[in-house]
Amino acid sequence: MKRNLLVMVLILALIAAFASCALADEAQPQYGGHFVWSQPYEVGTFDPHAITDDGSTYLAWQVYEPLVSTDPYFNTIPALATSWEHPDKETYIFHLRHGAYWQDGNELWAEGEAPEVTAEDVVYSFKRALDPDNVLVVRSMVSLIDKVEALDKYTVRIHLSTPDILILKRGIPQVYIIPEELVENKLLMKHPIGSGPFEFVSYSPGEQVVFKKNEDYWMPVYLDGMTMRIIPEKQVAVMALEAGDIDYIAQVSPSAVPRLKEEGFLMVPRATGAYRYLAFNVKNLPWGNVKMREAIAHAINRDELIKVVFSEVPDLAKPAYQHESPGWSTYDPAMKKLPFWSYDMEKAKALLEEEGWVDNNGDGIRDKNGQKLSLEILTPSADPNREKIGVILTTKFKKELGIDATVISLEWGTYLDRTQVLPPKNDVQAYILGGYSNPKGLYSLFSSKTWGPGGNSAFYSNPNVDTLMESALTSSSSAEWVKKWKEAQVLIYKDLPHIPLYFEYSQGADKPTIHGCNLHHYGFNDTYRQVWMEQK
Amino acid sequence: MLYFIIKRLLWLIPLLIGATVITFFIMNAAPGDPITIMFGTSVQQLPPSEIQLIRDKWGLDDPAYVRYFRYLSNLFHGDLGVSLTARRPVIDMLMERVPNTVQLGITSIIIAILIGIPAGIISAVKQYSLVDYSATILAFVGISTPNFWLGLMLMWLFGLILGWLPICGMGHAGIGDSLKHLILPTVTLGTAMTASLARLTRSGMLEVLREEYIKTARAKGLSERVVIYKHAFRNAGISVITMLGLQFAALLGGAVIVETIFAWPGVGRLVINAIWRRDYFVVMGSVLSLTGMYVLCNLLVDLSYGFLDPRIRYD
Repeated sequence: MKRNLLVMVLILALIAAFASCALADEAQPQYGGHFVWSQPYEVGTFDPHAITDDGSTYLAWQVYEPLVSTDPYFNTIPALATSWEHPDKETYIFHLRHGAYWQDGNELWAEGEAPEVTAEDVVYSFKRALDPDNVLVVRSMVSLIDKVEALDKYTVRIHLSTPDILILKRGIPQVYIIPEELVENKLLMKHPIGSGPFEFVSYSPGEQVVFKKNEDYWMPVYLDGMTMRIIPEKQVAVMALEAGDIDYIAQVSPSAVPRLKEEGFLMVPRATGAYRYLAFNVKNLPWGNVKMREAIAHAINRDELIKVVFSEVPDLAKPAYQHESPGWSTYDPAMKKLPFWSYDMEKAKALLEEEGWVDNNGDGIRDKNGQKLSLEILTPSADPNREKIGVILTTKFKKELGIDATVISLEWGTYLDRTQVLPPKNDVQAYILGGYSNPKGLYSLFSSKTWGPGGNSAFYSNPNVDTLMESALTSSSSAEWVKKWKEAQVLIYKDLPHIPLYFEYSQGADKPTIHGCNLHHYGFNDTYRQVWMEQK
Repeated sequence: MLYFIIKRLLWLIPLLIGATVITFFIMNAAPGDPITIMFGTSVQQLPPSEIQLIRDKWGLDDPAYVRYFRYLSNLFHGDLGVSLTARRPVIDMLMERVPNTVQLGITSIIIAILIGIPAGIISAVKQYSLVDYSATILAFVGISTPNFWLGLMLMWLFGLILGWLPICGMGHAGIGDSLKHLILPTVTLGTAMTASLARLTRSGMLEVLREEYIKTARAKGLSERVVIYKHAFRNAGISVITMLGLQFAALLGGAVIVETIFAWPGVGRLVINAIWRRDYFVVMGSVLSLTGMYVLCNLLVDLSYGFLDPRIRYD
């Protein structure tokens, strides 16, 4: 009996020993270290309500906080607000976190003397953002808010003039909460002070921003501090990573990925894809005819396109058949099965011939009533991948379909000038673009109310789609919004104002001793509070 | 001399005004609207009335000549305007960046002078020797090599493979660190100028060394060093120094590329970003500062003639 007991105790001890070894092998976050990372954009402004560039967004994300934020799949998550209620379609009530303090040890507040973030601070921030006299960019994202009031020290009520089910995904997360004292003391543009995980230390214009840990942050922050280096050239950033000058690159150029992997660096992929597409000006003939666009749709082999353009790293892109990215609640796998996404050159040719476009004079280009079938595709010059795609597509259309197709690459301002002119003056036939990869992107791209600058440059208009999307935006529940959004997508793509091409998954790269980096939906890491470095 | 300097500085005023006219009207003629570029996809969420309010506030719809004279009037009061995107005074943004470009430019010129001129002199004195041929080949390579390629190669070799120098940036951990960061961008920017100076010095010296007064100097028993530096180079130096002043413009243009590659926060990068964003006041301010630098550099060149050739006086 005693012997059996001894054996059992020994077995249990062995199990405990193995279990503790197994647990010890799992990486546990370590405190300490100064994290150096790079991104390519200048910091345009310290004012989080006036952000128009990505560099400023990176800075704001570290120092400030909104009421709520979103995860990589655009699900709303708590930030300064721990919970919220939605008593009616136009009203949101937010309950603030207790014990969230403004950063201290600066020109505003001495060490240990910063006050708590309260509902009055939230009211001030929203009122400042919404004041038309301030001419702040963020106002455009929350212009539906008509009242913000503090119900008590930790409760804020926000009222919309018109319901918008997406306001918690896009709008409210973009309004950072700032202390009124920062603006009153004219410090906003000199020394950002917020309630975020990192405190601003210094800024070398055009070169770097240095942060230190906010010791009083309401969540653990593992790093002692970090430096955001501004390195415009992506290949130079790669060299800096390889040389050990930096620990992480937020955006890696695709050509560098295989080499970095070989050298033992870790790739940090973006969780969801960014939408890239070929769009048509549906008001201009002949491409205003849906049959003609269907012919083009049948002539695009997405797999082949991705293989050629992203040959170094095929994982960077996946074929797209809709705007909504895989992983989003509104993504619909059934969209892939829509009949005109099938790659079928014979069908494409047949459709063109049905519309009367045949090569009458034997020059290899189709014509009709003496007019050649031409297709001019514009693309902004900033993205070399889109230019490559333009060249591939136009070469294919010319060679295999007999379309006199050309691609023109334009500087961004010039591109906008041409594509944003309203019909009938707009002479654009087609363009390759990307972006609008956010929950409201479908509305921005396809509503007849968003024609023109920054919106529906295909000039697509379908009253049924408009009604469905407006109804979706004023839904009382997310489930209702998702259902209607999916229905709207089907209707939109049956009209083919866009031919989706691919979702792009940009990548970051870091040293193997860095943990916790992840790319947010814009290719950014919203904050580095969860990043930790292995200590020697 | 003082009168000469004051006269030249006064000429700076119409020159800068001319630069503002050209820049302003080119920027306004270029396609692209600052509001659309600045607000991006958010612009369609603003009602047209509000966009018009913004345009009115910034005077974007006023006729071009009205906006130009408003700018000029503010300029004479020392106000270079406010950046449309950063919402900061342009003068503040320039004060942050111009010293960095000046630092890069001056260091590059110093390197060009210290290496290019002696190389040219030695090449001329030892014409058709191995030294001459080597210097000639290096000079042609230096002139022909695009500076963006050179910069990347130097970065790869000295920064990555050998690990001797930092890859990019300015360096903030003391003077030694700053100097280390300065080496690669300076060499990149100064190489073409060094090569040009070497070739020009060589041809200038060859011409002067054939003059009768050089034979006379040697016949008088003067040392070769005195003949070369005190007699030959001082005569050949006028054209060399003139070219230095003219090349400074090319250097400033090259600084844009070098600043981008090396993440050097200078005015070149500032103006490129401002052009893309149609941030008119930043572009105007940057052009003014670059023009001013160029004119001042050429003023110094003109003043140096007096030192090289005592016959030249600016009374």
